[in-house]
Amino acid sequence: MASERQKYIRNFSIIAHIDHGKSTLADRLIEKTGLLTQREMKDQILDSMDLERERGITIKLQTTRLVYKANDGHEYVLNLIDTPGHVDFTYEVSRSLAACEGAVLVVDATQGVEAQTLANVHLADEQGLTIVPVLNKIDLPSSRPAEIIAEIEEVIGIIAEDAPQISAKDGTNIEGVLEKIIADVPHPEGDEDAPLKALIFDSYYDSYKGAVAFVRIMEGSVKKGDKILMMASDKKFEVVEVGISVPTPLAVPELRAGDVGYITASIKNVKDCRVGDTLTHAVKPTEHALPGYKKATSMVYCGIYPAEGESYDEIRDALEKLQLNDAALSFEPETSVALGFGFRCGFLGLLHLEIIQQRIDREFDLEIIATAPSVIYRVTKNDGEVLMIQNPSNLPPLTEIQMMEEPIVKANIIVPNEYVGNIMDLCQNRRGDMIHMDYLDPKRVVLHYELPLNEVIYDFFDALKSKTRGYGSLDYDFLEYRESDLVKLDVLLNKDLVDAFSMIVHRSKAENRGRLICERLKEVIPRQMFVIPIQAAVGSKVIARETISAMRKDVLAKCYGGDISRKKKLLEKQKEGKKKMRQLGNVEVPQQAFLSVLKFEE
Amino acid sequence: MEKIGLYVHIPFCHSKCAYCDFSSYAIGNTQNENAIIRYIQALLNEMDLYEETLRDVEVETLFIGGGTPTCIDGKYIHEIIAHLKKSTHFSKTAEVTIESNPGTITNEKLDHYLSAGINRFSVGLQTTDNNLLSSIGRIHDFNTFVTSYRAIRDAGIKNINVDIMFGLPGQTLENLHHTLNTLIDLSPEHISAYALKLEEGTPMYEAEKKGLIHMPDEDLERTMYHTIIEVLKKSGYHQYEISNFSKKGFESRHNLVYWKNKPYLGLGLAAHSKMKQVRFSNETIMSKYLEKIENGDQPTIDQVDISESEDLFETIILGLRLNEGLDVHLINERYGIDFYSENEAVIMKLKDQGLVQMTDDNLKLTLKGIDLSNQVFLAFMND
Repeated sequence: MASERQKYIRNFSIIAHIDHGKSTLADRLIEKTGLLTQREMKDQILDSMDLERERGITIKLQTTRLVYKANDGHEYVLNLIDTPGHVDFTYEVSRSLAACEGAVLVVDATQGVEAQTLANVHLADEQGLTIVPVLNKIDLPSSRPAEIIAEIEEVIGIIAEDAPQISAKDGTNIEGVLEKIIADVPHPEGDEDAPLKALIFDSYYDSYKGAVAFVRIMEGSVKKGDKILMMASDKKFEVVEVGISVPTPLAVPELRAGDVGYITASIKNVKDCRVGDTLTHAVKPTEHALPGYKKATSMVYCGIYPAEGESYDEIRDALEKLQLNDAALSFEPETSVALGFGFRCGFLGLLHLEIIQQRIDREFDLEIIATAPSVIYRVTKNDGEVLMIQNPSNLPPLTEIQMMEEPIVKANIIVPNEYVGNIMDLCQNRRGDMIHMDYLDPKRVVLHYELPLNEVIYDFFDALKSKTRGYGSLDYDFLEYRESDLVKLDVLLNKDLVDAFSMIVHRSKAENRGRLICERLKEVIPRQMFVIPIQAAVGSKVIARETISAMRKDVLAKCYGGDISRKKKLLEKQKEGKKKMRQLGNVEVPQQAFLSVLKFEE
Repeated sequence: MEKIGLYVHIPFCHSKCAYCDFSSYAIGNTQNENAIIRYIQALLNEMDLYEETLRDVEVETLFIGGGTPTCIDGKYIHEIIAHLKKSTHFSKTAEVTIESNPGTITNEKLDHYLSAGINRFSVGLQTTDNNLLSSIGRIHDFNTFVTSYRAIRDAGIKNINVDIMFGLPGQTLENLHHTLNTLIDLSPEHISAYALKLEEGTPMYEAEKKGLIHMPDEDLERTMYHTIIEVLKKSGYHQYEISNFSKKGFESRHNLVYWKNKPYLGLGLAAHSKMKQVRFSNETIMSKYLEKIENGDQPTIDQVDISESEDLFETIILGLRLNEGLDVHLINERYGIDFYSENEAVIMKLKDQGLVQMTDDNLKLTLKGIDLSNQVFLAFMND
């Protein structure tokens, strides 16, 4: 039985494919409900990090409470729970959705259903949410609402004929969306007097308050001074403040079942309030934790090292600070012969990896060298010992290995049908197995593939985009470990092995990759005073080679009275350039050399 | 009395060459006389600004460069030198050079130059190949050069330098040999051989960027350079600096002032100076230069005090350009150091790399060291 109060609450998320207008709609909803005046609105206020705004995607969740007076004369509390919009953050999305009763599905009326639309609908279905479809970008001349409605009904299997047709950009029919949410999304239920049971669906670190947990109260209530227990991490705290997000924090006396809000409790680290964990009373705990908790697992690893002239300690500080807000980021110290002291870092996926690398650069102004990303290989040794290898350098000698396995993902790729051939070639080239292929509509196809993750992490997404003129979309999920004929590809510079360039690849790929790396290194490493052989090798067998010939000329012909200052400036510039080089043995290697092992499409 | 070199800049040319990034103004054949008169007057005024400085020094060398100093009326050059002689201690044995381009020299001008005391000419030939000459924007052909050269000789000048260039787009080794042999037959006392370097903003730089012209590769360019050294050596020209060759006793005294890091004063647009451990340079924009002078101000824009360690570094990188190398005793004395022991690690590494040669008295570049001289200079640079 729902309380009277709960009848006027709606908890919902907005789900969409990237660029279909999720953030813009969120802004309009906030604006429409009068939370902020138009003048106060910063564009897309939910995407608070610059990086998010730049990439047009949401990485960290934000949530906000809207108050709307509906046509029925009642005032409703609408809790909009934002979700991150990328395949790397599937788990976070699922926890946000678990905090809701409904999801607004935004579909671009010019583009139709895309890979992430499907993936997100699937997640919402799993949580048993009511889906409210909305057609966006109706203002564009190329919009085709009738066709897209049919597509949604056919492909997703939900009724869409009365879906609000809106333009989030122009603010057209936003009210239609709000009314539809109230009409279709069920109100929350849950016994307000039962022991506390709250789902943590997001957390962030605040330097004054400590870790702040965003929660959906499922049962019971919580207020300042309550002793609470995190059931999965088994940590106890005392509540300092409860509040709601409007979207700036606003303290309230208590949160009750059906509410969405935040809790602070002098929690030192976001690790102690993990997304998906159940928060309950320490004294009178709930019997069962909420289902679905998963510890964030890293799928992709790479080494992060200070670039020349940067300090190890500063990189560690930066990683620690990032981790305060990002429980999915893991790191531990490691050492490379070539690069010295650094860290092996684990990420949810490639996007997560790129974001962290960029945040280190932008927010901490630190230059880093990142080694080639690697997945985790499962290696069974002859003596039966099983190793999980994240760093190619730790691979035991081949003679000690009985079997190697690599992670396989299930990928859904949606492309316009004229590009199917290109994508089948790409996937074939990436050792993919096609499971089946469906037509979404006469023009678009979804390809279901099983692909080795280590083929996906190397510029697969870029290749997909370039081979489909930007129209292809991808979504993937871990499937299983599978035995594979894998080898370690090493690179030798001037006869010395450079461990930072080593990677584990399928045997059939070794020669091609080795040749490409050698060619790229030859392009980016400047001539030096001696001949430098570059070799790619598997074991002791050299499979590709290039040679950088010795520098023959570095001289200024004229140096008279007026040239001396200029000459000195040139030398200083040259010296600065040299300082930025990484000394590997005798060879000076520029930073971009380390990027040349990251991309393989020609 | 301290001895100095004097440089006077004449920033006028008939037309600008396609590789030139010096301060110069093309005046064509029309000879904008008023502009020239105004500039010469400014030069004379600038000399007066240095009255005090010049009182305590002796001018050992004078170099009138450009631009093309010989493209303006000879009377102006005469006037400049006469004024200098009046306002400085001008050595009786001073080397007085004027830079010139073929086709700009007349007997009337030569009379002015000789009576003013000019005793050395520097003539820009670049190459004997007429096609190459026009492709790099030179206004003369080879015959014009010969005519000018003979006229200078006939006037009684016993010290002539000829500039040549190598590494030109389309230049071949054969072409270079032809240029060298033809030049050797004319027997100038001094030859400067410069590798073409494309400077940003010049027409040739842009043409190369667009792929319209192609520079010879590093290997061919170095072969050309080594050819020049060999051929000239056989014909009695010894190399005494990276780009300079002469018959014995005809080394450019003025340029040696630069390479030995001795004091010099530059007058005129964009001219550079180094006096008493201070480097300074003049306005590079004509209107500003004139304006400052006409207001009675120093036309300098840049002034840098050279610390002792910078001065040492400059002495090293300039001195190493000379084939005789660095005079280690002189350096030890000038800076109160033990050069060899203070730079032992650096020098040993350079020696191992085959870039330098050392004796008790001198440190000098090997041929490989010349080709890679910037690498040697970098090694001596402080962090």
